[in-house]
Amino acid sequence: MKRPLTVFIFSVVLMGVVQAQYTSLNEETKSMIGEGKKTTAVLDFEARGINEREAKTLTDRFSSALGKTNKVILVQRTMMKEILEEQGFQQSGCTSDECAVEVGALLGCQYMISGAIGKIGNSYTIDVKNVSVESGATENSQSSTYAGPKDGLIVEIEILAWLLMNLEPPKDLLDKQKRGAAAYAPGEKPKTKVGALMRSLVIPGFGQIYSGKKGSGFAILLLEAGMVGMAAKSNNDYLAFQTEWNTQLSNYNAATVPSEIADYKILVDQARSDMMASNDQLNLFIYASAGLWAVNTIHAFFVGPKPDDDDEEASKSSPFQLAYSPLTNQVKLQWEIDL
Amino acid sequence: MKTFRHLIILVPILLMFSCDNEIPEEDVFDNPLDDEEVTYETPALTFYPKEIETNAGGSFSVEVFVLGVENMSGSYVRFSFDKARLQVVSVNVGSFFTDAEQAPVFISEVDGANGLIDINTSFLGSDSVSVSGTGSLAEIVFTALSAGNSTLSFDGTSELVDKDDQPIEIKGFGEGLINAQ
Repeated sequence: MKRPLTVFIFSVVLMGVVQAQYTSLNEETKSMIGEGKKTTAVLDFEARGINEREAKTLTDRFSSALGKTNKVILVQRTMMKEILEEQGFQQSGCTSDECAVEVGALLGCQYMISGAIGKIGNSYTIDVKNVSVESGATENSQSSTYAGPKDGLIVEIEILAWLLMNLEPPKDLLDKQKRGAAAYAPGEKPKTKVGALMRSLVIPGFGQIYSGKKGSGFAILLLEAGMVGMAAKSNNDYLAFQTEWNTQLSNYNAATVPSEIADYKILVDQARSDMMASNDQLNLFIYASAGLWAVNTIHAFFVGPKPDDDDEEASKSSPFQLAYSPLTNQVKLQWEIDL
Repeated sequence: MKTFRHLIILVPILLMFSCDNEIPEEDVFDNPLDDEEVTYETPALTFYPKEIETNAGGSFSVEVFVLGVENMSGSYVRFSFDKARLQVVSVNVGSFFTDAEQAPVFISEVDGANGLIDINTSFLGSDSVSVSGTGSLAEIVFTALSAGNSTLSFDGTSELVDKDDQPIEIKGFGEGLINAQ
């Protein structure tokens, strides 16, 4: 009995606060309300398979996207948090529609949006719904299933915000959805097998280095460089013997003494044999080099970068992580170490 | 477009690898004094060099050589030249006879009107020495009067003799080609 009374008092206070704020609202906000936009609050999404920090970050991103739809008047999440804390309300445990309605009534808003983000295997599921505080009915619900790096959830959840408002998501968001996690790494394009192949096609070993296999990459590069070097040496030898051949042929043509003619003929033949040997060696190294080049290209493709489908494993490999902090409204570099 | 850019880089690389060095023909020997390579049998008379590139108004020399001869003590060589294009400047004795122990008798006659040159070279005396092998009988200096091709051709009356004054059969004759620009 005590609690409804408390709720009533706080509702009156909240309405007073809203009213006070309303009187100080700028013209744009007034016009928004005048346009029939509903006051809406977003509850922290339930985390099922991801950690709560990530769920909160995604909830914040959802709220931001919702604000961009220009279809609702959002209750500030910081304000909502303060009010709920004052009420001793544990938002994290509020997952049912009834609870959402109760919180909505407490906040004095017209709609409450709640959701859940779950992980099954390598796939993520996101479910959001918009509940009318007045009727307790679900006005709209949307869900999305996504497989890929966790970063991609940001795009998915932003798109859901638009879909929940029955709006077509902006093209840039859909583009980001196509690009996946790479959309959040400007300047760093996603590594692909084709990228590795192309790099190895241009410079042997670069595809492997690009894919993170520096050992094999540098080994191939050194081997290829050695072969190209040997081919260049063979070519130089060939050119030297060619010069020798030309010189001795000139000597032969200029000779008038039979013994000298015979000697120069031998030297011309010798130079020609040396030219052939150098050319054979040159061809050998060229073919070997080309073969290695081709193998390296194929190798680069098959050992090329794999999609980072298990980012938890990736996070284990690095103690550094980027995470959004709703308290400071900033992305922070966090460092974790197992004790 | 990106693939095209890669191809632009790739194609020169492939072209670089597709190049192959040329190996010269084995049969490049055409020294007119190389008795293993000449098309005619020896003993023979030939000009050296067998082809001469010169300019109109320029001078050049050509030598008359005997190839693969045995015990030769004297020679009479007659050859023709294109009197319209060439003019004889001088005729000098070659080294084949002068390198021998005995100095040879050397007589040359130029018939400019008919474009003929007669050259007599011989050792005198009954115990005269002889020469064998390949060597120069005479060196002739010409001036090219006008541009064009002309040939130097031996006359069939040319002859070689041994120390007993017996003729040595001449089995081959080479030609000289002059190309004045």
